[in-house]
Amino acid sequence: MSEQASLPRILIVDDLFGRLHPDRRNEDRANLCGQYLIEDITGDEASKWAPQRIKRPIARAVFHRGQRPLRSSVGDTVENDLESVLRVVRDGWFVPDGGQYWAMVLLDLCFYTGCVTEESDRRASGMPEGRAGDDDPDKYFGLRILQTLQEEMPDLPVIILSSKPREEVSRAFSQRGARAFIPRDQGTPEMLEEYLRRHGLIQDTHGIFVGRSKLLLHALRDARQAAESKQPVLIRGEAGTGKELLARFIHNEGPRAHGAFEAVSMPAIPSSLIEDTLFGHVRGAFDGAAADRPGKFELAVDGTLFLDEVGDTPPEVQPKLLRAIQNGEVQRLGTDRTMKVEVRIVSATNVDIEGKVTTGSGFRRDLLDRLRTGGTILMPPLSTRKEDIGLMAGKFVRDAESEYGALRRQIDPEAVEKLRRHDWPGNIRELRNVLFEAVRRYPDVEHLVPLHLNFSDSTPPAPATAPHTPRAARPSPPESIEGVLAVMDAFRFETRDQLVGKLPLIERSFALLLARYLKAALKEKTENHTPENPHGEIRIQPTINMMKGSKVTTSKAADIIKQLLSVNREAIASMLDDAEEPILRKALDKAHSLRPTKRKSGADEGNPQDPSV
Amino acid sequence: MTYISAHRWQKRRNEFNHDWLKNQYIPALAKCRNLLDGRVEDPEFEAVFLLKIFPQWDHRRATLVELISLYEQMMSPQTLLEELPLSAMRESDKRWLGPLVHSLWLARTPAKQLVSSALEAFERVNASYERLKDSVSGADSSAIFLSPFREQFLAFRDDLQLLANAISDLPRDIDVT
Repeated sequence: MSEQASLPRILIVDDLFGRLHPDRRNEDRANLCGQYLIEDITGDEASKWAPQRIKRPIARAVFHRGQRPLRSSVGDTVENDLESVLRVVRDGWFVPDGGQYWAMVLLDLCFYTGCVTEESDRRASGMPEGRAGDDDPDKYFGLRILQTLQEEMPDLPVIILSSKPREEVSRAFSQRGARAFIPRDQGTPEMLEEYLRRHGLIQDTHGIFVGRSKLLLHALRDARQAAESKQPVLIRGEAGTGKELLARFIHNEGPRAHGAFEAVSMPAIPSSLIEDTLFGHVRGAFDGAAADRPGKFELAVDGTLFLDEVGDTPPEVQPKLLRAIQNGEVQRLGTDRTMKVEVRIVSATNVDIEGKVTTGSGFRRDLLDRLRTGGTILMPPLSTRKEDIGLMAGKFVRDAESEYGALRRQIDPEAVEKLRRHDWPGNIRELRNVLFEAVRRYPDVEHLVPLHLNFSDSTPPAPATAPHTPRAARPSPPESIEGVLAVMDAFRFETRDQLVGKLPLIERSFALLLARYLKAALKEKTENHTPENPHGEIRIQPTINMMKGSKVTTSKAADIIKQLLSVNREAIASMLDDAEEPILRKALDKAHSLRPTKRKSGADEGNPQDPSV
Repeated sequence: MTYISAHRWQKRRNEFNHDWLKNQYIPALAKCRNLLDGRVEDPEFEAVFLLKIFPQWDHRRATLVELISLYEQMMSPQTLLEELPLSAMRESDKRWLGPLVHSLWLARTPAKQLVSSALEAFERVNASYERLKDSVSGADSSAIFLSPFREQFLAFRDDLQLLANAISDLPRDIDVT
């Protein structure tokens, strides 16, 4: 999406700035655009007038006079024209597949009507004298427009842009649903930008959320508003709709963006460990607590703590969670000492949490109330925003092509149509899977056609995806490495069954995880593929640098590779012997060739700058 | 005395404050600020700013002084004695009732204070304008030349906004309560 196209598109309904000059550009309009840094895209002025250039426009604007005629001169009579205003607003208000919509409407209050006289034309060309009543706050035409818009399009964000005294009309415009008032002479680009951010229906410019359906834009607007405060927010939505992404969006849009974002998935953690995960422990708090360990609340200080599937919080943990949110105080396991923490809570659920409260089946009302003090945001299911599927498909296909090194392809309209006909019980995650699979299976075609789309391979809908249905008992696996680590960090061995004979299994899993991690990193850093050497040149030092996030010497990199692959050689034997992808074997061989003997103390003689290694 | 009715006074206030000052002159100065900050480019505007836009104050200030000084006279409830039905009273009664009504109105409302504030705001704007006019005299209108006077332009615009507010503060209706 180009920067220009992603600019919010606003409509300005104003008699002075919307009027057309017969013989020159509307200087008043140009000055307003220059004041607020708006790009005029009305396209009603002859191109012979040199346009002004706004270097970094805040928005693109279409101007409409709200009266007829649009172009008036001495002797003409100007009348208000509600129908034309409604027509223009409707034309840009979420027409299916239209792609053009109003992020916001700026509305004037006082519209002057009557005859254009020599004198009124001298004051402002084409402007009429005005009639008794035009200037009466009780009869402002702008309020009539506002009332009609509110009745027909209640979720259209309208802001008053007027030079009339605010106090004369503040009650009237509030009653009719206007979101704010900008005093025309005192407004600044920064004020307009802030109001657009707070009230406008604007796409996500960071590219995390793709789409411009009304429901998505509502969720993003609610998220931007929520980001301004530090009150807890509850996100609702089916599985796979992007609730965690929205939580990150809130974090990134708010004043705590510099702080940590910590996520806890309640169903992924054994209930006995949730308290420890959230609040941490001190050394000796229980068997195996060998050292102090902070909980997620402490780790998220000055940042955001995301509680995913908060409805699964065990009843015994809820009082402590409530205290932590309410008082900002946490207490590690094993100590009476409390500590103050400043943490923004964002939680999410896809279950009927109110039902749990009402039926007394495991969720406290006071905790629920506390979790949504800052509001509730609904992430819409994909089935309700199918107009976004074309855009999303484009993004996922590009991502998949990049992931699999596949040919760049066009998406046939029939393929989009097939995608739109599907119900998507697994939501965006399912859509992504379908498209990634289509690209993976057909990497060498230039067209994505319906034949490539196989819904039976996509993530089957989890029983818990529909709202108001109980979650499946089995927790879903973590989706990120952070999730894996959180589960591992939090796991405690509490029963004898958990101890007996588990070491080989743990070693095996650990070895596989490390080997897969190393293999992926090696592939990322492998370069110079040639026909003679199709697997490319393995570069172990940059690989380990990337994995560690810091620079190491070549010798150290070789040592680390040997170490990573020595946890359980039997478990990773098939990976090492993979003839089609011998990258791990080659890396190990290279490591052995570089460090053939046991490393002596201080023998760190490698050249950290050698990129060929 | 230039006779204008309360309605006429309100209309002239509107033409000055709403139509010209708030919708034309101040936005032009606000745009000038963005021009000086390099956020806007508009050669046509630059070419005429010092010649045609900035000096508009010269042509308007006399209107404003008259407008402010007529406020007390034109918006006093005393003027109702000139309109039906009160205009039908005997002239001898109007002669004593008029001044009494006016005195009571002045005692009950901050009319004089509002006028005084508006005049003070006018004086501030005028002083800013004269200083700025001297500074830029003989100059061309390009943004490069005007840049050194950015702070003066900002101060002038701020003073204009205070003036616009002070004029807006003058009540729009004759207070008969």
